[in-house]
Amino acid sequence: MHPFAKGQGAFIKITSLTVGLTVGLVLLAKVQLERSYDRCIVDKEHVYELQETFQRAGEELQQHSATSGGIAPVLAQEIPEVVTATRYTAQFGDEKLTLEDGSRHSFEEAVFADSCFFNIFATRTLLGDAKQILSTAGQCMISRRLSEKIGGEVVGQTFCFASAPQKPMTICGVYEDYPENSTFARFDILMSMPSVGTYAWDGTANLIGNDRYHSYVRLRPDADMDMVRGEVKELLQRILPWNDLKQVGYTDAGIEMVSVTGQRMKDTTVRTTCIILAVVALVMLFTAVMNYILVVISSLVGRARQVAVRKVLGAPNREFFLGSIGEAALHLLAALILMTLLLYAGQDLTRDLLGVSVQALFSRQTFAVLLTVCLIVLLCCGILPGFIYSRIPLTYAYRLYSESKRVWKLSLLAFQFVLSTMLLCVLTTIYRQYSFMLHTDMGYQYDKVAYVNVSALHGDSIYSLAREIENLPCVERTAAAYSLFCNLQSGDNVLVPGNPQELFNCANMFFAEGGLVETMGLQIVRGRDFERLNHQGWQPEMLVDEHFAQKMKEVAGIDDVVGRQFINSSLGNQYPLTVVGVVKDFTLGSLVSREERPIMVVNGNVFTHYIMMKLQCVTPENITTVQQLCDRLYPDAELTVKLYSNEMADQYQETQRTRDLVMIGCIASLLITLIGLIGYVRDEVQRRSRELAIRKVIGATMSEVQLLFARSIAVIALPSIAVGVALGWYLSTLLMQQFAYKVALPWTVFAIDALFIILIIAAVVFIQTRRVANDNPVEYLKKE
Amino acid sequence: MCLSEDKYILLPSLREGQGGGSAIMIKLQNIKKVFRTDVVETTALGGITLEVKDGEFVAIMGPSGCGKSTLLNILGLLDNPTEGEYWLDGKEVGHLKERQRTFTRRGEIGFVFQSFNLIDELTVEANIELPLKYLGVPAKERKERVEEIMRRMAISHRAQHYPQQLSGGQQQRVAIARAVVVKPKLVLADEPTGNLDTKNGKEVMDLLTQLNAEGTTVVMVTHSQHDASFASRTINLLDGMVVEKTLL
Repeated sequence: MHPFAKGQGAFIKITSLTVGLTVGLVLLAKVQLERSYDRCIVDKEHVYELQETFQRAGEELQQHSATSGGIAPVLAQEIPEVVTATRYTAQFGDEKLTLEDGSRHSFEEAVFADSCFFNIFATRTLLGDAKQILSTAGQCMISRRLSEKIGGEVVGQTFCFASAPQKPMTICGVYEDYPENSTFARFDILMSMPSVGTYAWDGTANLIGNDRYHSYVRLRPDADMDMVRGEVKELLQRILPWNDLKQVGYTDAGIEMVSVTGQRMKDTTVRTTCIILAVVALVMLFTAVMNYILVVISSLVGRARQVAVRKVLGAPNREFFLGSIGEAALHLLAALILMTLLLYAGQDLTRDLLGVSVQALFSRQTFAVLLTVCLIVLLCCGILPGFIYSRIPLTYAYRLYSESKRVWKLSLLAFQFVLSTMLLCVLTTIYRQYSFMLHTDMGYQYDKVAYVNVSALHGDSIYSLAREIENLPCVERTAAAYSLFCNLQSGDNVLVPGNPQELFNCANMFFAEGGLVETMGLQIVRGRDFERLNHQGWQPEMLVDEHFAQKMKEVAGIDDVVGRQFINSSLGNQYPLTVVGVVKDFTLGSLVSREERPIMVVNGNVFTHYIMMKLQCVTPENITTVQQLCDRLYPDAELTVKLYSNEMADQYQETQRTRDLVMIGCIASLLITLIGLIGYVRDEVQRRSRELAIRKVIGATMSEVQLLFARSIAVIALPSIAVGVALGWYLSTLLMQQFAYKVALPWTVFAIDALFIILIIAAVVFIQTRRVANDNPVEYLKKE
Repeated sequence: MCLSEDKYILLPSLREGQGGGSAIMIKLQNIKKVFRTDVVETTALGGITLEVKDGEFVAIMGPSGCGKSTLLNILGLLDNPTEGEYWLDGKEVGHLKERQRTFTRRGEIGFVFQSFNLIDELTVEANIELPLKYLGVPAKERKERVEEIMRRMAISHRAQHYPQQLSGGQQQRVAIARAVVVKPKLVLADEPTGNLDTKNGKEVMDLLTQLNAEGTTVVMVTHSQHDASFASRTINLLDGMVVEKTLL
């Protein structure tokens, strides 16, 4: 049996396997990477993340996945079961550092980490003494990739961050990059914990407040968790300032220890995405295998006699099994080679879609799973055809093979219809959800908004740049602001002057100048907008949203907040802020991670990170005009003008990736199914050509002949599509669970999906049968 | 070969070239059929002119490759001639499109083949019923007509059998039943006894003769002089031309 013999569908088989394996293996590898996430954590099953909990009177217990800076060291010191503890906190991200020689290098993330960081999050130290470096202020270690980017001898070099130009940091060591499937993959710079005070307020010893530290402990293997939790509770009772906490309204506070084992898969978004990807992967592999077997059965007409003759000559069944497995192995090998070429050519696309490199996908971590899948595919594609060959009767040695095997073929096709329909339904749902997220009213208008990150500028230069931009004819309005609306904000407690009771926590946008309301299309409900300052500075006044006003009415009985003064816990008692206006509620963050707290923003152009601008209209020319102005005024700052809508789209990148992956899976699945369907119809046309000819002779028209085929396919396709829709609906419901704000799933959308599949099937059937339906029937009768 | 040598009396209307009158079922005027490929051109029919009267039983004979089947295909509207005119029951049908040919064929022409050409997946009853379905006959009437024809052909007891469960003679009777169930004006038979033994062959010829006696026009292609003897006239073909007509 020649594996590439003419008429045996080798091309179709290899094509199906290539498409199925490429999509299937890549997605399974991605799922496996998620399952083995953070494998770099040493002795993982005994490592726990510390999360603070707190409760106010009459409110539910809140849990926050970080702690104050001093918690982890105290636990290491006081709890005997804690072997080691560490903490880190992020400080800089996606910006550039400038070396002494003036060269600039971009990096992904810079964090402060303490000297025990590598005890728990292991990676190789390539240069330097990690313990010593991370204990010494002003020193840092950098990742291997950043070291290679900088080039040459990096140890001893000093650099400054673009957003902290006067604060040098010295590179004293290099560590091996963390794997792509780890929390620390983006970490390029580990700065020593004692350096915190140079760049931010130093809360490394705090037991409450400034809760920005990700803290971890490793326990002794024999530690009793209940006992440890009890000890932690007892410790907190001793060390926390309970009177202060109660005075500001807290009734309880604590530390929860969350096991890091399987933590990644506990995240609803990750888990649901993995389920969807695994389903798409299995669908692809299953469809490809089904198609392979379908082609084998379809090509039996050409092989049955050869097999029967061999049997007559005494060939044992084992020979057909081995031959079939050998043939499948060769086809599989060819498909894997093609897959490798495809992935090599599509490396960038793969990274964009999955967020990991092809190298990471096909690494040691995924090898065992992928090899197992390939072996299963091989066995399915080899054993089943071998079984079919072994059952071919000897009589076919001297007569024409005429078994239709329609049940087999239609069953295989039915599976493919089910799976393709299911994927199409899921795709439609994801597509609609993505579109819903992008176009949902966030309470502000950003379609004409662009922004520029000005972290690299300081003092009056930001203020003057904002005015220069506003003077451009293509710009309607600008506003300097501390942060973007699509970013989540840190929280501050709100108090009424003279009362130490903290009323509630709100999202503090810190400073933004007059013009923000107009630039972002906010709506003033009561009061007024900020008046713009004509110098760099700030005013003790704030804008709040309706939620803030409502909350103040509920907790403090204040009917109208406009004109009232409040204390913000960040600025403290010495700076009471007067509410000048209330804006209609708007959304901070995104629909994936949405800010639920009341919002406040203070009038000022200090601590500005962004200049937002409302353009007359969004055109490449207008963006270029603003960009040219920035480049001309501050050529060294490397400012980049970006569209706000792109920033919003980035918030939904995970959803977009899932959508794109399901789309690829769906298209590939449909493609394989259509290949199978085309093969089936071609085979049936050939097998039934005599019958069709007879029908035509006795009066059937072309359309009646085509309908005959369409009906025979419809019998299997319609129920399959119905099952596919039901499965698609179920998966869509599952998928929607990860979204707090989700699109509805009306039956009409699924009906349209079903109709689409029906139309495709009908089109294939009608096109494929057109020739035989058109031909002179006598030609087919002659062949008899 | 030309029409003037014809031994038959033509109706005035046909003589005047105005198409067939009621007495003429088939009129062929200089019918040619040429098969072309990229490299070769084969003339299957070189200019056939003949007539068959309504109610006639005509046998077409000739050696293999003389164009008998090609002629039968053209007569049965399964294929169009390359040239010439074909008048069927007074209507020019030689250059109809596929769809029009199908509609003309339905109910007008019945076919009987040497290899029976029954549909294996359908029962005897369903095979016979099929042309009535395509003709749009209501289900009740279909049932009555199928039962009636099965009775006439003595195959009622085989109604629910499949073709492969029948003898050759029974299969050909089913094929004839299917051909005549629509009460066609013309039955075309392509070596109807070619696959049958003498006894069954005779039964089939008796059936065709009986149909003809009831008024159906029968045109039969055969190699058998014996079968041809059932016809009222024999047309001999050679190399795509009519070489002789014999009135029996």
